[in-house]
Amino acid sequence: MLEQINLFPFWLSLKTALISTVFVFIIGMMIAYLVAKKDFFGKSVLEAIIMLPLVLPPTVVGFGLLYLFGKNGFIGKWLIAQFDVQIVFTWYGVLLAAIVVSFPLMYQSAVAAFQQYDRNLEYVAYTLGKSRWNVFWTISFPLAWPGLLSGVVLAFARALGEFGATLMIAGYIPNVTDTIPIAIYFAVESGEMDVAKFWVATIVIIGFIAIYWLNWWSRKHMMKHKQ
Amino acid sequence: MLTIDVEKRLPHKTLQITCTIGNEIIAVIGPSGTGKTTFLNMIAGIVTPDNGYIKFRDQIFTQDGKSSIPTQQRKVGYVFQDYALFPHKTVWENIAYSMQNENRTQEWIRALHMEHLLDKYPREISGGEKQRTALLRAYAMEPQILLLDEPFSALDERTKETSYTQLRTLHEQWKIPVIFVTHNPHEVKKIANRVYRLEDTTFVEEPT
Repeated sequence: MLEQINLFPFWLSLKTALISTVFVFIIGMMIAYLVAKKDFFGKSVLEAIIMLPLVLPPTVVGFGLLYLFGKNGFIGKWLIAQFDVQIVFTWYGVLLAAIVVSFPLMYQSAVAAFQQYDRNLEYVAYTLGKSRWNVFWTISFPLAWPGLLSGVVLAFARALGEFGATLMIAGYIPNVTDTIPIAIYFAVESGEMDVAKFWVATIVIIGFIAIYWLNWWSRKHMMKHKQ
Repeated sequence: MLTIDVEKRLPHKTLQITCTIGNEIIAVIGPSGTGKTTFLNMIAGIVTPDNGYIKFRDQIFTQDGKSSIPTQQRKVGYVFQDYALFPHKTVWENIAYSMQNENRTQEWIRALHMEHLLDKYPREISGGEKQRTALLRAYAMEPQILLLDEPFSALDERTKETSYTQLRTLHEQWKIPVIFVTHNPHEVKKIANRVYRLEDTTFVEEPT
């Protein structure tokens, strides 16, 4: 039975988790840096919107995505008309759900990372003639990196394990939208317990390796960044 | 000439400072919490005054609550009270962060007996060594204004005297305004050309 397991869910989940993690890392880090360093009108509202997917049930998040990106949704209709791109029941829907649910985890870690070091370190770098871009890459980013890495691992794990929102917007289409969590659910539904156990073990191992490695790396390298 | 006529609203009072500083060493003394660090931060461009102006030679740093020249372009060397050393960089990497001339920088390192510390990180050196590193980092950029917030407080007596001498030597060479905040009357006598006292609502020159 195990020899006949279709590995498509593994590659789909891995691809989705990696791409969504790269996206949320870049965008999440940029927004978090802005929020951590500046006060502006609407900051609290922006933060509440960003963190909403973390507190809502995944099916509610999925419903919201379906409402906006469905064939009759405000954004979905526009994407089909302008770019002939459909989100629902495609891999794009899988990716979108992964991004939306993992973004708050990256954002939250990044904000904490950018707030945990002394701001005077950036100020002194400015007095030494360095541009904002240079200071970000030579001072802010290296000092925030342990926290950012933590956010990356959490976002990756969350994207990998996403189920509810994915099922709502992408459905279960074998070899198209069946990620590992969805494959587990439908394997159990259809009584294929060996298949379900295989995927459960796979995702537990990946999650365990990710968290173990993060803890090991944090212990080894965190002290280097402490004053 | 550094010309300052500024006003800054603080939580407990409004800071008003008017002074003109030539190529001399100025000491600023006064009780804690009166705004001495805010004064230095306004010159450096980290904080913008609410009103007034700061001018240096033919440059307008700030005017009417707006910064005309950003911090990065003011060439102000600043030694913070807590040193603000980059924890992820070695002593040498901190000093060389904005170094203008390696030979000169190496001379200053030897004068302050720092050669054996260059490969260490800030967490591995003492308070006095951190202070010397912060001083050298500010010197190495060869600033046009030098701001020092209690720069010698953690040094032993021998190193203090060396540092006073070095500061005076650099000042004679560079001929730039130097403003240092201190609680040590001995330092004032040793180094300063003039002294200002910042208290509650006044910023006045005191006889040296």
